Amino acid sequence: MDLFAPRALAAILGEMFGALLWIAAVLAVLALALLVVAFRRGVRWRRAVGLAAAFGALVAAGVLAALPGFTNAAHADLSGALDWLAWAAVGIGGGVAAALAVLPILALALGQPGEEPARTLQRGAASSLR
Amino acid sequence: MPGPAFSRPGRRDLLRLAAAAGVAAPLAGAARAQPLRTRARIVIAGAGAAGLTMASKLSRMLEGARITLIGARVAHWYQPGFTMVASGVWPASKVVSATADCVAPGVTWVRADVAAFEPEAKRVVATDGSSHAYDALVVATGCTLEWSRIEGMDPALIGREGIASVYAGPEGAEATWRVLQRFMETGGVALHGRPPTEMKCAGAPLKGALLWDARLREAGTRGRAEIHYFTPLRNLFAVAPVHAKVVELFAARDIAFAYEHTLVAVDPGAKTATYRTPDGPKTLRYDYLHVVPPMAAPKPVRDSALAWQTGPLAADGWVEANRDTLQHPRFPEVFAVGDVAGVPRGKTAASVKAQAPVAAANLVAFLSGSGMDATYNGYTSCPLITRPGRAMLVEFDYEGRLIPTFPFIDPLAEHWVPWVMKDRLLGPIYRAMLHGRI
Repeated sequence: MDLFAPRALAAILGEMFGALLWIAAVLAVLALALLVVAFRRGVRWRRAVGLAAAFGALVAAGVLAALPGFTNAAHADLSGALDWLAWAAVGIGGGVAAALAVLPILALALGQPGEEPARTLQRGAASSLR
Repeated sequence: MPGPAFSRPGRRDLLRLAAAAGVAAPLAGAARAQPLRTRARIVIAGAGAAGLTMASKLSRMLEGARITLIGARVAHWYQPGFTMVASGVWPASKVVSATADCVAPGVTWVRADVAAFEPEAKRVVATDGSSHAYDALVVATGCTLEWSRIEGMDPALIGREGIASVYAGPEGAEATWRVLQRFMETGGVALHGRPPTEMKCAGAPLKGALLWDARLREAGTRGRAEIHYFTPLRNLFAVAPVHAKVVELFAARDIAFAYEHTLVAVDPGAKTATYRTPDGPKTLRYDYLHVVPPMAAPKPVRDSALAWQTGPLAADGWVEANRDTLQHPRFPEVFAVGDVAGVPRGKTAASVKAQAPVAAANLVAFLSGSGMDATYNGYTSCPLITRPGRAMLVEFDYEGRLIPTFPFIDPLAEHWVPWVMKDRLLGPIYRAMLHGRI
């Protein structure tokens, strides 16, 4: 069978991750649902995106640092474009996945509509007191 | 030296990869063929990688068939991992699982070995005395390790007197690592090699020589060690470009090698190994000896009419099989898969992965009376580890053509990515194969 066939890939991923694959799938669906909720509530994204990107970058850096060791190898074993591209792809992929996972949570927690106008009002009130 | 015969990735390959790695995976299983309804009695002789895979595949492809799996081994060994154990990368526990976990539902497992094949009567007799008539037989018994063909050699010596072997099961692989650790401290003369017979994973002895060299360098004791590799053949690897690459690696690593040297005797007390050479016997002193025993079909196969009667595969009793269909030419209801199959290549788990779908499809075609159109091209694979952390993913067919599954990996270049596949990916692929899911 062609290892690239969808059924083969699903079988291999199932063997590789076991129950973790299903937990990850449920979490991905949950993150997607939260994203939809966040969009529908019209949240403000700016702070959430910034924090999620920072978190993703942190995760990517961790993955890039730990990845060779996780495979019983060292960074010195990476050789040529193939290895460095694969290493970078896994690290960046991990970082992007982590950022996307926390983005809806951060958006719902920090970017609720109405927060920003409230702060503006407070600033305005403070200046009128001066 | 001729250039490597592998194809560069085309745009279509990359698109296919991208598609396969992405959204398509959850759509799995949409287009499975309908199982054949039959009351046929299928006997599968052997409960190793090939037997378990065939049982899983046939149980999915046949409805109502009575499938009997005959094999005594309760523990299943992931043999492709033995070199990882022997080089101290994996613990032995990582290569052992329960056979019971891999037996497909609905398959009757007879916990005994095959005592005799009676192909004229379409019957197999097991060592527990039970007799099993069949309408179709899959011979997947694996091969036997013929330690006694080396004078003075006993597998009980592995782990002692500087004797090692990754072929002697998980314990043997673990003992090999212990012997190697001692050798890394003391240095001395290390002898490697391969047997004169067909063998499983012909790359393993080469990997061994390269891995041990790397371990000695890590330990800072390579300067105190000599490494020799002896082969009864006139090449280091049957595929010309791979042979050339291994010669290059051996030269770079200062590993000496010689052709037409067959290990015929070991004296553990004197720590000497004797080789048969064109110039007569040659006896060498060793501090570390990695023994790869001659291999042959199990005795019940050799003693039966299933074995090749003439030709180069007759001497060791491999099952006669059409190299394309894997069907026995004289007993058409018999198919051979795995190490015991008498085909020119293919004594690896990767071969089983390629052979099992062909043998299963052709067995189903045989039962249904339709034509057999599945063919095995001799595919086999050797993740040739060159040091911990790097490997070459060599895949080839009957003709010795390099046929990479992953078109973006140069099979003759040492990389980390093939190592990752060996360390992380091939195990799950193997388990998916055992469960008949690929």
